[in-house]
Amino acid sequence: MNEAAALRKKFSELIVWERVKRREKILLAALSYAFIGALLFLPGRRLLPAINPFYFPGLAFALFAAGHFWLRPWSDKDSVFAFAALDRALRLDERALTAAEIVQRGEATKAESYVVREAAKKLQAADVRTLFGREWSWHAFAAPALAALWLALLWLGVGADFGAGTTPRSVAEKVRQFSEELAQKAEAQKLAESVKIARALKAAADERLSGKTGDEKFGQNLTSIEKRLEALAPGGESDFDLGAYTREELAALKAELEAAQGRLRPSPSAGEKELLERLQSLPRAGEAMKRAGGAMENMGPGELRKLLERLEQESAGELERRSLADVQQFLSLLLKGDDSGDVPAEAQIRGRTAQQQTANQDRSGGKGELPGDQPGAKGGAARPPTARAGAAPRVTGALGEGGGSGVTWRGEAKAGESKIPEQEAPASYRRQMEEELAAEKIPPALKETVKKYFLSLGSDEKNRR
Amino acid sequence: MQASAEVPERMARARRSFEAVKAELGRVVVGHENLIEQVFVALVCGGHCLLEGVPGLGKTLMVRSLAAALNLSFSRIQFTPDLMPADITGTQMLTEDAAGKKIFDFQRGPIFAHIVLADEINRATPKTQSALLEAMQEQSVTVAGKGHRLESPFMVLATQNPIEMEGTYPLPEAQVDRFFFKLLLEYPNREELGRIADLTTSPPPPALNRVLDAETILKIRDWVREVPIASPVKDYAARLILATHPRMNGRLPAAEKYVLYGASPRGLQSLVLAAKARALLSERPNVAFDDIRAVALQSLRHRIILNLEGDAEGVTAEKIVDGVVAGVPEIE
Repeated sequence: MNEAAALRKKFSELIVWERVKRREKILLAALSYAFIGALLFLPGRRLLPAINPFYFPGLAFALFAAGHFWLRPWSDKDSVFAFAALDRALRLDERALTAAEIVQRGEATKAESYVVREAAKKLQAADVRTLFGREWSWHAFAAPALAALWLALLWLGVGADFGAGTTPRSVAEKVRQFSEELAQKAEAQKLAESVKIARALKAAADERLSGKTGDEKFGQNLTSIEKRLEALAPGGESDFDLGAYTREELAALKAELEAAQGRLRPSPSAGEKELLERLQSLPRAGEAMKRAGGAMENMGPGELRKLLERLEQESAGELERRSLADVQQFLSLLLKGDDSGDVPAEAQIRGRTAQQQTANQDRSGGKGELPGDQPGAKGGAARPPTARAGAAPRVTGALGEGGGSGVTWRGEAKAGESKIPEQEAPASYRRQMEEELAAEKIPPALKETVKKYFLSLGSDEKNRR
Repeated sequence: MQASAEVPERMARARRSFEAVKAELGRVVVGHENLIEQVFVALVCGGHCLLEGVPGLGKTLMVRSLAAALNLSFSRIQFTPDLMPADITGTQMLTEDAAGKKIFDFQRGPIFAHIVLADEINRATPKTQSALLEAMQEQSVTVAGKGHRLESPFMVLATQNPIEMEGTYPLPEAQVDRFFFKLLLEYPNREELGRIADLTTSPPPPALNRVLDAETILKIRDWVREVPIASPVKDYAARLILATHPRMNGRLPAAEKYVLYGASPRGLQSLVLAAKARALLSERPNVAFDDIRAVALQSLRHRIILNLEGDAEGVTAEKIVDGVVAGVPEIE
């Protein structure tokens, strides 16, 4: 083998080795930049839902590497740099550079042949891999650290909620929150079945959250509760058309009946007239009974009492039915996997309540019972406070003396003339006030204010006279 | 592709020749080792040198000694304002031939020598200075329409005094560009002054030996041209030249600001040829980047013309060349 062939082989080794190193360098750099890109992409991954964040580094790596190899392929200039580096490393005074050119050209003068021989002699023992070992750039050190950081952040779920506005909630958490609200509401309204279902839901959610059960078991528990609900679905005809009542109306009716329980049955010997008088102090019950049985004046005391009992049972049953329907709807959405909304069941409950209220307001001519802004005019449609599942009815108003304090009462507008004579109205109001206070429907802090107000109604009347 | 043993032999011979000349000159010339090397490089490249230095630094002595050591004919022309071109090139004289017939005979001027010392060249008028142009470039003179070839090797070593500028005629750019190198003589240091005192106040040293002949010099000239140079090295030299230009791609900021005209293509020839000679005299078979850098200053300094701003700010061509050498990467 002559010097030229030996030199050609040596140069070939050098170029191959340099290309390998360059390739490694590019791949490492691409890997580092891919992970940097993946880390930057992580917080905004919700914005690009089409890209699975797990695949992002791979995609970015392929893109960077391909781009680099395509834009900067190995060129003659890179070879020149490699030969120049060889000259510098072995102090060859550009012999390698010159010899490489001569060898490539093939033909050579005497002087050129001598350069080739000199270069071959100097490079004979040189091992290019030892001479130009791998030099690890920061990419090599950064890539594993960046990969670990990316995996950790991915595992911690960083960025999964970016743009969603709220923290992610598991299904179990949603179920538990719903069950707590349901329990609160059901206990307030004394709905036994709803309380049981709420407890069952809470137990299932707690088991899942504490890790005692897995997703599968949790799903099974919810399915069994749903089946239980289906079995509980109450049926039967209603005499009182309670389906047209809003949830608030039903709750108010039930509370009214419970509060008046003692007074409606003072003694078995109580007369019809006395019973009728007392019924007149219960506007909702009276209205419901009127719808169901016609004129109460034509009923006997026994008949009236039976009707009242049935009304009480049916109002409680209707509230229970609606409460269980809400649970059923919530569970059905949950089990279908329709988790697009954050709290779908609650939203739907609220939505339906609002619809019913609107329908109710429409029935009452769109007018509320609030005082109007102008003398002699009624206010706009009353806007009851938003009802959350299980939330107790609230009275709104400002506390304190002087200024503008008021109490808002919700109720249907009643058409027609008042049946209570004007002289008896304050006494009637006071009686109602006492009932409401006794029934604890007035917040404690407002009880005194309410009491003073109704007492003052009579004194004002006296003063005027 | 078999290498001949001739190449290392001729490299060694060139080196030996240079060492011999240097040693011989060292007997009478104190210091100026670099200068001697550069003059020798110019000689083996077939170039001419412009030596600049204050009086008394040994310019004339060095040139005279060089001619003596090289076994070459030598002539000295003292340039004065009244010097005529014919005083340099020679003239037609009316003489009689053997038959007594009157004929014009060409009487050769002092230019007809191997080594010509053009002392204080800037004291002659431009007309006279230009008499050297053809000789330096074509190595021939034309008198009365007839060309006369100058013997090889032919080398002009011109000197000029940078401090006495009154009554001088600065060399035109075209003529300056024809000098292969412009060399500056530095003032001797204390030790060298002592040696000068010894040499000049004691009995004169024996005459110099003739260590090199014209034939060898011409051979070395051929060998210089055969020294291989890689394309990237050539490209580096070319980029250095371009970097001196104020309006070329690859120019440097200093050149753009202070240079009126950059180095000519003769500068590139000088750069590459001198680098080859340096490689040969260093017994290296090819030109290295270092060779280019080593000869850049003497090859380019007289080829860069500064603008008014450069002159006003005291920028020198040397600074521009240094900046170019420092600023241009070897491989691009």
